[in-house]
Amino acid sequence: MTERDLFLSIGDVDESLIAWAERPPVRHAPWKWAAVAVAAVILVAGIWGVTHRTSGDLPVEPPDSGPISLLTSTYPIITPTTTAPTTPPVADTAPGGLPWLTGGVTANGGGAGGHNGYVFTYGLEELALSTLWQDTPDTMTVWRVSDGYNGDYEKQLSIIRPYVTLLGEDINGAEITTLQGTDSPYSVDSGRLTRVITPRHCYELNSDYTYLAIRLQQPVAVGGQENWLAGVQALYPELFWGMTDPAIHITGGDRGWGTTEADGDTMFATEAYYSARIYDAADPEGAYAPFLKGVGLHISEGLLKGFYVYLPDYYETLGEYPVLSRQEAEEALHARCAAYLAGGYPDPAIDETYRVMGVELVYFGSSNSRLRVPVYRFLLTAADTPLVTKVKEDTGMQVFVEVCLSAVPEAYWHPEAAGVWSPI
Amino acid sequence: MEDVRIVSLFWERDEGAIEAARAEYGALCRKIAFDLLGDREDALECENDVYLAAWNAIPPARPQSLRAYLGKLARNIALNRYDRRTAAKRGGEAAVLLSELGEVVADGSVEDALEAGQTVALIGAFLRRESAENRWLFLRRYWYADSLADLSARLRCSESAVKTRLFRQRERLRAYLQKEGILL
Repeated sequence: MTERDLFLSIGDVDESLIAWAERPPVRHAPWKWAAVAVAAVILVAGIWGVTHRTSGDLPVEPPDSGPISLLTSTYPIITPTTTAPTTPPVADTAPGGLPWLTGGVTANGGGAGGHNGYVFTYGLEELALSTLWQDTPDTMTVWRVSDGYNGDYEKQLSIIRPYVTLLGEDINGAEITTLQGTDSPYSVDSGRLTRVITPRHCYELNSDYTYLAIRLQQPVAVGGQENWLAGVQALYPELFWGMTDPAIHITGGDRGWGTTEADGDTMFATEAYYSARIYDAADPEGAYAPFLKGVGLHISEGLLKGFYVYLPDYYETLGEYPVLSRQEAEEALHARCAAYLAGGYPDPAIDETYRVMGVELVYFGSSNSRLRVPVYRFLLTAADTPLVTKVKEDTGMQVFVEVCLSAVPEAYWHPEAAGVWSPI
Repeated sequence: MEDVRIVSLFWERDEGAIEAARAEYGALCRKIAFDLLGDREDALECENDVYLAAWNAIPPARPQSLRAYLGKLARNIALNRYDRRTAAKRGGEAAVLLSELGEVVADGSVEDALEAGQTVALIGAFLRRESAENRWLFLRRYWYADSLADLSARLRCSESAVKTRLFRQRERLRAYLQKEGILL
C-alpha cells in the first residue's frame, strides 16, 4: 500500500461520514471550557502567586487541546481526554418504547434538521407547496424501507413482469440487461439493476425497490398542469384501474441556474421543475404517504416522459410518532438560526434579517437513512452572498434557503443523530 | 435541487444535470481541487472533468449522495492531474497530504492480502472509534483536503495544535491498520 492507495481508500469511506463532516466542528460547551480555564487560571495563579510574588501578568497559553465555543446546545459535548467521560448512557429505545430515529432529514443526512440547499424561483406563487396537511395531526407514521433484493435477478424480474404485461407488452421479446457499477475508477458501485426494454418503454427498479420507473421511449405531449390528470389517465388507463377517486398532487416549482455558452459567466434560469403524483383520494393512506402508493409522473416541458409506480410492499411501519405543531417547529427553527448566526460564519446563507417565507409538511428520506420521516420544510430569505447576488442580478429570480426540521421531536432521534445539524 | 432530481436528469441524459450539479456542488469540487493543486485554472478544469466523468458513469451508477460522489471524483481527478504535473509545478496541499499519509504506510504493507474494500471498511471503523472531534478533523483534512490554516481557524486553535492532533491520529491509524493485518 502506498500513500496514494491510502488517499484513495479514504476517498471511499462511507458517504454518511462525508455528509456528517460537512457540519461545523463538534465543540466544547463554553461554560464548561470556561470552568476548566477558570479553575486552571486559579490554580496557576495560586502557584504563580506563591512562587513569583513580584512578577506582573500571568503568562497566557493558547488552548491547544480543543476549540472553545459551542454552536448549539445539542452538539455532543466532548470532554477533555484527561477527565472521565460524562455522556449519559443511551437508552435502548426512544420515549414510549419507540425505535430511535436515525439518519437525517436533509439530502446530505443532517440528523434532525439542517440546510437543504437553495431554492431558486421567480416567485412564491410559482412554487407548489404541499397542502396535504392543513392541520398538523398529533401523531404521524414513520416508515422504513424494507431490505431490498439488490442483485437478485429473478426477484427483480418478478416485480417488473406484471407491469410489462399490464401495459400490453411481452417481456419475452424484450431486451433485458443487467447493469452494474461501471468499471470506471471514478465510479461507486451502485449494485446490480435489471432493465427491461420494450419498443415503447424502459422498465427499471430503483435501488431499494420502492418504485418502478417506466420511461417512455417516445415522450407524449400532455399540455399544462390542468390537463395532466385527465391526459395521463387517457393515455395509460391501466395504471389507474385500482383507484376509486384518482386525484393529482403537484409539488415543486423550483428552478436551477446555468451559465450561457456565450461568455460562460452570465446566468440564466432553468425550467421550473414540478413533480406530480396521481393517488386515490378515497384511500387515506395513499393520500398522506406520497411515496407509498400511487403513480408519480415525470413531466418536463409539457411532455410526459415516464412514471414512477410506487411499491408499498417494500415499506414497513416503524411506529406512530408525536409531531410538533407548526408553531412549535417555527420556534425550534428560530432557535437554530439564532445559534447558527451566533457562530459567526464567514459566508452565511442567512443573516439577521432572515424571514420565513413558506413552510410545508412533507415526508422526507435522506440518502443515508432507510426511514421516511415527516419534516417541516421552511423557506427562508437568503443572505446576499456573491452567488445569491449574481443569480438575482442575472436572472431576476428570488433565492430562498431551504431548511428542514424533523416534525418528530428531537427526543425521538438517537442522540448521535439528534445533535447533528447540517450547516446552513 | 435535490440529489435525486439531479441524478434523475443524468439518467435522462438531460444536460441540465450538469448545470444542476454545478449549482449545488461546483463550489465543493472547485474547493477540493484547488486545495489539492493550488492552482485556480487547474481547479476549474478538474471541475469540468468531474461533470464529464459523472456524465459517463451515471447511468448506470445511481449515487445516493452526490456530495460524496462528486467530491470523490474531484479528489481522484485532482490527484491524477497532480501526478501528471512536473515536479517543479507541483503545488497545493496534495504533496503535503500525501507526505502525511506516507507516514502511515511507511514500512510497507501486506500486498494484496486484503481487498481494497476491506481497507476502506477498516478506515471507516477506525473513524467511528475516534472521538467526534477527531473524526471531523481527520475527514476535513484527508477527505475535503482542508488546509491546516483553515482547520485551525474553524477549530479556533493554533496550527501547531492541529498538526499535533493529526500526527497522533495518523499514529493511531497506523497502529490500527497494523493490528488488523493491513500494514507490516
